[in-house]
This record gives sequence, C-alpha cells and structure tokens, in this order.
Amino acid sequence: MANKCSSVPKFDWAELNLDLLPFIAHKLGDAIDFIRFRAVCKKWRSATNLSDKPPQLPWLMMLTKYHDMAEVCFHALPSGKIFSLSFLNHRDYSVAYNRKGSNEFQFYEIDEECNLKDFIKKFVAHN
Amino acid sequence: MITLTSSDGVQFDVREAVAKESQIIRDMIQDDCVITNIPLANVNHKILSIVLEYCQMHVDKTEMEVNASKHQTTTGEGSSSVPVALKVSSNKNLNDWDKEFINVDLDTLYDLILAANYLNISGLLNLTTQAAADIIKGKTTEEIRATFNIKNDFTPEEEAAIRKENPWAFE
Repeated sequence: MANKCSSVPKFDWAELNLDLLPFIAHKLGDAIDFIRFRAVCKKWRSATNLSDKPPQLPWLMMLTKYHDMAEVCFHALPSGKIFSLSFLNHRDYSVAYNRKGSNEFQFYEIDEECNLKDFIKKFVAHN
Repeated sequence: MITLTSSDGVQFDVREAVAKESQIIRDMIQDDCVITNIPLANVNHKILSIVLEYCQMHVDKTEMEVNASKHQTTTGEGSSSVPVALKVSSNKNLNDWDKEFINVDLDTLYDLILAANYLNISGLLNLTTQAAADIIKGKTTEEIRATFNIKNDFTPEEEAAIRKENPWAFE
C-alpha cells in the first residue's frame, strides 16, 4: 500500500496500547514478519507471544540432492521467501518432522532398519 | 440527529445511524433514548471528522443495498441473483473506497487506531491495524524502527540472543 509514510512520524509507535499491538501482529500473515515484529523493541515483544501467532499459510518443503550434498528448502508462500538448509548426503536418509501445530522441523538420520538414529538439525520457524 | 463533541470542543451533527456505527455510542443510545449530545473526550475534531466520514460511507452503502433489495422485493422484478451481484459489486467498491480512505500519514493512522478502539468501531479497527501491518510487511527490523519512530531498547546481548533464535529471519 502506498502509504504516506516517507516522513518520520511524531508518535513513537512503541507507545501504542499493549492490547492493540496484537491486532497489528495478527495481520502480518507471515512468520518472518512476525519474528521481525517481535525483535523491534521490548514493548512490541511483550505484547505478542507464541500462543497468539498470526494465522499463516503452511510452508512448502522441497528436497534436492546433489552428489555429496542434500538441500532442504522451505518456501514461505505469503512473502515468497525461500530458506534453505544443507546436509551432507553421505547419510542415506534424513527425515523432516513437523510437530503438529508448530513450524518446528527436526531432521534425523535413519539407519538400515529405518529407525530414527542421530538427531541432525532443527529448524524453527518461530521463536 | 445526534451531536458529537470532540475533545477540542467542535460539534458534529450526525444521523443516529451514523453515530451508531460506534458500539460505545450504540450502547449509550440504547441505555437512554433521550441522549442528543455526546462528548468524546479522547478524539479531537480532526480525527473525529475522518472517523465520521468512514461511518457515513459505510452506513450509506448498507442503506443503498437494503433499499435496492426492498425495491426488488416489492416490484418482484429480476431473479434472486441480482441482489447478490449488487452486493458483491458494492462490497468491491467499498473495499476500494476503504483502501483510498486509509492512505494517510502514520500520525493520522496512529490516532485513527486509538479512536477506532475507543469508539469500538470494529470495521475501522480492522482497516487501520491492517494498514499498519501492511507497512510492516517485508521490512527489516531496522526499517520498521525507522519507519515507526521506535528506539531500539534491547541491549546488544539481548538483540543478539533474539536473532540467534531465528537467524534465518534476519539474513
């Protein structure tokens, strides 16, 4: 939106009522904007917490394997941003596990008997 | 008609339907039907006139729709899909109008959020907070601070810890 926001406002938006800040945070629609919102100042951080995360579209997850590397990409649909994690491909399989209702992905190595073995990496899409 | 008086003493005469877009005024009028003058201690005349413009537009649009559908019922003309089509096009116009209406500077937006909250006008609160969210979207934390005149009150250690939780969001 082409808002007339080029000049610095005279109001300090950190002073906005604590109960109004979540109204704004809830309309961000993307985890990346929500995380940045919570990193602006103490007041904005304290006004929002993980239990009232904004609703957002699920992320797409894609796996690409090269000869010695594997890459997992997350595609955040609202902003179109892509985040990637690299793994060594000498581990035959790894699994991504998304705990229900959260944006937490955990990666494990799988052994020959298909048991989850070593925990490799964790990727958390919120704080 | 009802007279609304702003915090700086300016009086606005508005139709009851327009004033009742505000939940708080609606409650007052229902409690005591002889109220004709309502002082609004937290809204100055500049912001109140913008708020009333919003209320007026939304009441007019709703009344137009009701009249159109009444006309259709009494004359019995057309198929039942006509009012729906009318409503859709009317909503689209209203959304366009809202978009243009909320294209204001950040100080006005700040005051409008407070006024919408104080007067309890849910449509206006949604519109104003969405406008603020749209300005935040896609900006870095530093850009958000600069845009909204916010001082970074985290210590360097605190900020580093926050960034470490989700480094991908700050790359």
